[in-house]
Amino acid sequence: MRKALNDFFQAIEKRRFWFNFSMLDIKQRYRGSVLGPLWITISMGIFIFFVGLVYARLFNQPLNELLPYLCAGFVFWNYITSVINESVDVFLHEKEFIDNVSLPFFCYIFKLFSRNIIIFLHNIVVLFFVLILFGVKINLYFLLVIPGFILLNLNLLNIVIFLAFLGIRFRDIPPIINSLLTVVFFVSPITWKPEMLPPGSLILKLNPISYFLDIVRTPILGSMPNIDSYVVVSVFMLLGFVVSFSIFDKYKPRVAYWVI
Amino acid sequence: MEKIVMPKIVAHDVSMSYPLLTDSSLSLKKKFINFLCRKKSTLSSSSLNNINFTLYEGDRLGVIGINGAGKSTLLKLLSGIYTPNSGDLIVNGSVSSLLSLQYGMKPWATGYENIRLRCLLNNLTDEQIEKVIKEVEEFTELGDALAKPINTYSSGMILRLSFAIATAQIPDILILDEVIGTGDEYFLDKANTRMESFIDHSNVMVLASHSEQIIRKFCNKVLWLEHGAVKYFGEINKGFEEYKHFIENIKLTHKKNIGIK
Repeated sequence: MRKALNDFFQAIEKRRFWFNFSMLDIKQRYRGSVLGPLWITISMGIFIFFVGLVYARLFNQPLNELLPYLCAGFVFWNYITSVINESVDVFLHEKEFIDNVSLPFFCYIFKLFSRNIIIFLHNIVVLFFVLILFGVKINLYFLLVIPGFILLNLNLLNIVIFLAFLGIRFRDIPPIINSLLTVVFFVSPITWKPEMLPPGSLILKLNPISYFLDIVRTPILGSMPNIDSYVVVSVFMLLGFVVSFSIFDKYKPRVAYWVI
Repeated sequence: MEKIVMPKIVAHDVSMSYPLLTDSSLSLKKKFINFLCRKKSTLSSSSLNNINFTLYEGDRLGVIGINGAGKSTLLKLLSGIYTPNSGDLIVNGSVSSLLSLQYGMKPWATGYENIRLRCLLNNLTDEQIEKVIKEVEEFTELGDALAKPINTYSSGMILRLSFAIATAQIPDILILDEVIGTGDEYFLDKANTRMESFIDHSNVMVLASHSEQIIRKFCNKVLWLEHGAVKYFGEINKGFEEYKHFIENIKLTHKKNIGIK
């Protein structure tokens, strides 16, 4: 894992490079559009509003309770899926660089995170709008979002590394991951609440996403996340770290000729 | 007193091989099916075998050899893009390499954006970046085009831009692959002046080219690769003599083969 850690710290030294590069990516994606990244904000707002209306009826839930819950969950879910979806072709995307210059590979991975965090910060506007609109009381627990988000990202980092190497080696991985994520969306407590299931349901217990959501969503809605969630997420992170950094060490030299 | 000359690049028994992935080996599904049918997928591979050479300060190496001899692979190895499977490769100093026209630039980004990106990649400060931009503007004479995405450029314009960026900051080691031969007379003339000043700084340069003229102009040593192995390393005249002899032989056998058919 030494080589991977070295790469990691070298990439941190080049933070101006990947940060500016990620800004350039976003600029490129919305070149010629007046609203820029606010487009995603608006489309997310519309999506949440209509899905909220339907599910409130469907599950017989008061709208002013379900909508903030749905919105908080969906903003984070959107971030998680977009990071994971982009992870599978992160190296292929930077072909021009990998093929021509020797750079720490974490530069490309950090660039992916930086780009997605910027977009996430745009989306969070919808969340604040909904929280204020439905008069959700914000208390000190809200601050727990920060450690929650950091823990979430450390876990995502492991997943991104793993999928990045898998995706560059096997090009049929991206569609598999994509359809897998759709399934995960429906079995995760995003549009429905954990209380709606019978207590001790395996769907919740075996789904890592429910723990991730707990540590970021629950504090926003004004209560303390389950301690179990922190334990599961931390263990997951440490195990993932060993696996992903070992993979990085072993397969990094091969990426240059897998990128074709 | 004799000046101690530091070796800049040392290759000791460097070998590397890599599988060339074909479409079917890139698929997990096919791999799984092959595994079930106990079929082994065969991969062709490209490689370098037991490469040995040392370059000192001021050495300018021309790499020659027919297509597929491993020239580009060697340059990628020296640039740190590939890693050797065995042997030791020591490269002392900052490396700037121009291996292809894409040269680590994003086609959708403008000339200016790409220059900035390349500078940030080398951790340059804002002041240094301004200086590089001025120099590139001067060298490329691209004017307003620099504010346009580089996918609107002609290949000549891209060559000027990438060469200008690669040489804007004088690196310890400059690695160039073929590309410079694709420029027009005017570009070659300008590139000449820049390379001469580069040579004056007595830095190391490695240049792969099919043009004897270009290599004789810029290099003082030559390395001839054949099937991924070094056939000759050393003085230019002798190198080209042997290489030409070899080429003549290939042509002769080729003619004979055609004659038989």
